[in-house]
Amino acid sequence: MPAPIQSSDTGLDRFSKMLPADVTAAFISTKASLVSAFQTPQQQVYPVVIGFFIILCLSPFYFRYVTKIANRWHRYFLVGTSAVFAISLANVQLASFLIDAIAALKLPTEAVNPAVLAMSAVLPILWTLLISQIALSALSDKAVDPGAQA
Amino acid sequence: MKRCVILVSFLLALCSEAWGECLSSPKPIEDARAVSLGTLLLSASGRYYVLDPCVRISRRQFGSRLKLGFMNNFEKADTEASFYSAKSKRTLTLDQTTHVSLVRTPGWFGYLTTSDKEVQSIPEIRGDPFRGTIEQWNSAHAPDSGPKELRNIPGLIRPWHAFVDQGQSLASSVDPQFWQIDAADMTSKTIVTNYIIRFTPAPTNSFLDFDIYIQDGVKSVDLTTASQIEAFSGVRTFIIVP
Repeated sequence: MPAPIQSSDTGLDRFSKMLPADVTAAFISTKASLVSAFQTPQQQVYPVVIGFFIILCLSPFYFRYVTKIANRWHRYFLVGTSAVFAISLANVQLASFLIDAIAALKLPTEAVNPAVLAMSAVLPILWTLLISQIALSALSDKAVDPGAQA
Repeated sequence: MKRCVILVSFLLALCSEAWGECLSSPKPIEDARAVSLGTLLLSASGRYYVLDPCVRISRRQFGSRLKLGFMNNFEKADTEASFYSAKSKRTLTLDQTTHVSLVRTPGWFGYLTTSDKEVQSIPEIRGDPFRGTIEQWNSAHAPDSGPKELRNIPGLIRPWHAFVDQGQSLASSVDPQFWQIDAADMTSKTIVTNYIIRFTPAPTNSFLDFDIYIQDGVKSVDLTTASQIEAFSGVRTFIIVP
């Protein structure tokens, strides 16, 4: 659950505050609702991708004003993590959307399927296990919210 | 926020332009059972893909055997068997010795040999070459020809046309026009493969598939499907890329 990082937080506390569980839950419930609302897989593509895009656009405001995270590095990282989880959750819809978008630009689309599939499989693992840990170590002091109460 | 709205509008405008172009690729779907009846699907590596009318298919990604077909997701089970026909025209880079080949899925009833008189359960055919000429093939497919008349086409290795059931209620030759091959479209580098795929309509969500081989040298595939069930009829073009 994202919340301001305090200087007294343990490593585990800090790590858990780097993972946007609430935004991920919003992605999952949005996708479930849209998939049940639109019957065929072809109809689901655009609503799911646009829904995820809207949530992603709103997430910086959510982190700033709802969870009261004042530290911008922490917020940037949470938005990045949300994007990674969004790609993983909607990889099928994202691939279809990108195929349409890239084809419209008169570019070949053969690389889209393998690229999105690989990204959706590798990126969450890489992000959670490695990049989060690296960011936590690198931003350890920067990410501490000076205004947060211990 | 305004920028986001503009960006989304721009992407949607781009996407609406994409229909009808031949730059599309197979699009993955999560649940093949939910597709509308008559949606042609490609199955590869445990995933299903929907296909635009013209798509580019990467041999590196999908391999040299395309598993295509329709989902048997009818609303109600039917006691009567049915079938759909498919005709693929592959254009290759090299001259070919065989120009027509024949595929039949399991479950059909017909004549085992050219001399048989009784209709019986017959095995599947996975690609018999037709050694006759296009003219012989076309002239045999006259309006009143059934599996009985069509078992003796010169150049046929064994009878291919068949009935969906023992009672001979529906024959694969029901639409002779579909089986006509346009000689003007044929070159020394073209292979037409004719498929008959038998099934019983039911909400079983089984995949009613057939294979198209896109081995090295295949440049494009023109696929035509037809059936008594209107939703199964359509025309597709696949551009094969390495």
